[in-house]
Amino acid sequence: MRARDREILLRLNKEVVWLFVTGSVVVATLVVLFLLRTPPSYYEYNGFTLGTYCRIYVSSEKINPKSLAEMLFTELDRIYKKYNANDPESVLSKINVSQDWVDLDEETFVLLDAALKFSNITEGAFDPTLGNLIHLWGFDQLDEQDVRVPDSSEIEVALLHTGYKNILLDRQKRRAKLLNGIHIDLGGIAKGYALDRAYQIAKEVDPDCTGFVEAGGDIRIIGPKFGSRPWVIGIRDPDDTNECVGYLYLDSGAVATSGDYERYFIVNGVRYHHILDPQTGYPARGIKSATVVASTAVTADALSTAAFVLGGKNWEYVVLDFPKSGGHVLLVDKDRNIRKSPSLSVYEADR
Amino acid sequence: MKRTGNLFRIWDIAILVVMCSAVAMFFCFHTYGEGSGYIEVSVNGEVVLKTSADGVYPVVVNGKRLLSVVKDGEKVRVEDSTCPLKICEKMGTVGPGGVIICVPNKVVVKFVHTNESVDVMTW
Repeated sequence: MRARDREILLRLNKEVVWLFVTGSVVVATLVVLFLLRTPPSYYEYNGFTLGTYCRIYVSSEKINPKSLAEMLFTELDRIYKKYNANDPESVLSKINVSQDWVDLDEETFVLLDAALKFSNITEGAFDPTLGNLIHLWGFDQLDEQDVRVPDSSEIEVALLHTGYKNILLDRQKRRAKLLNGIHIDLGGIAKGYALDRAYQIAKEVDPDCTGFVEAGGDIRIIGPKFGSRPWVIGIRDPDDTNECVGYLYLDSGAVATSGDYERYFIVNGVRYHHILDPQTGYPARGIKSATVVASTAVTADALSTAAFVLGGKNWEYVVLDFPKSGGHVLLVDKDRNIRKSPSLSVYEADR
Repeated sequence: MKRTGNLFRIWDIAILVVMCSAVAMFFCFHTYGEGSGYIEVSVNGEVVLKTSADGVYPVVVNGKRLLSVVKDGEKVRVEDSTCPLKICEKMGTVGPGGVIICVPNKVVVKFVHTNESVDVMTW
């Protein structure tokens, strides 16, 4: 019996030792794998273009994220230079100074066509022909040296030389002509277009890349955070830089905000900001900020400007009707009331 | 009794190993990225200052002073900017995760915080 006990004890001890060894190996393997696991590394690129601060935050397993970010910034800068109304050599300047038909490259034609589409949708609240007015107020200069409140007579004259219906597009011959001395300013849409182009290029290079591109608070999502999670986007409180009036969770699409705090000056206690009402020629009143979520940055950019202009006059129309055009809106009015499209709630929940 | 005693001793060691491993993993992954925030100042996309120390930091490029950045604990602000409208100064103080932008001078002041709950702001 004593010998049999020893045998059982020996066998049991062997089992326990093997169990211990196997368990240790498994745990050690897991620890090593965990430690060696490389989290997706994001590269952040900061720069100035499109008349504002741009931030590119990307990750890719196919290409060095730094190279990808630089590639995207180059594209943003290319579009800025091409459509910078202050550069006499830009494509846009050549259209603006011409009295006749101007042949357009495909990209410019598509962009102008999109701008006119948003003008029609918003019944002129988004208007790409405010170049003369913007120049009059001095908001076209990034150095902010020449901002001023123009005389009402000057504004009346400048208003005569605005209106999106003064842009003629010839689809057959892919050309454009401007009437009534209007000047195009694509400030309300070029940024969105540039962000969408950055997205396209990123996806062409690496369909699985993730991250986002930001230009002056307008954001185009390239792909979900770490490939699976939505990015948390704070909507800035117009009255307090440190606070948010809401949060959005986006793993695709875009968001843009137009606010009266971005570029402004104060004269006799009145704040004059850069988002002009195409009907009055003065800064649009009634709204402090308009945020729009859309599937593309072009849509978000153009509709946020229109939402800002229209929001003070008819906020119900903006929050209820804009979603039909693909823009889901959050408005903060002058009394700090928040008006939202019901459809925005989809983006306010962390999925 | 002897057999039971041996068995428990070995299992005790096994459990201890597992627990030590778990604790090691916890520290490996939870100490990463922690610590207080810092400010990062860039001019035209190029980082010119990165610090977590409080103080007043003049931002000078090519001998020209553009503005001063003031870090005071969990707050940062801009003062004495050479830009005409002083929008960067009017933004006041920002805390962790906040950004101050001076467009004319192409200066970005970021209060970088490793435990940000917000990835990016729309404004």
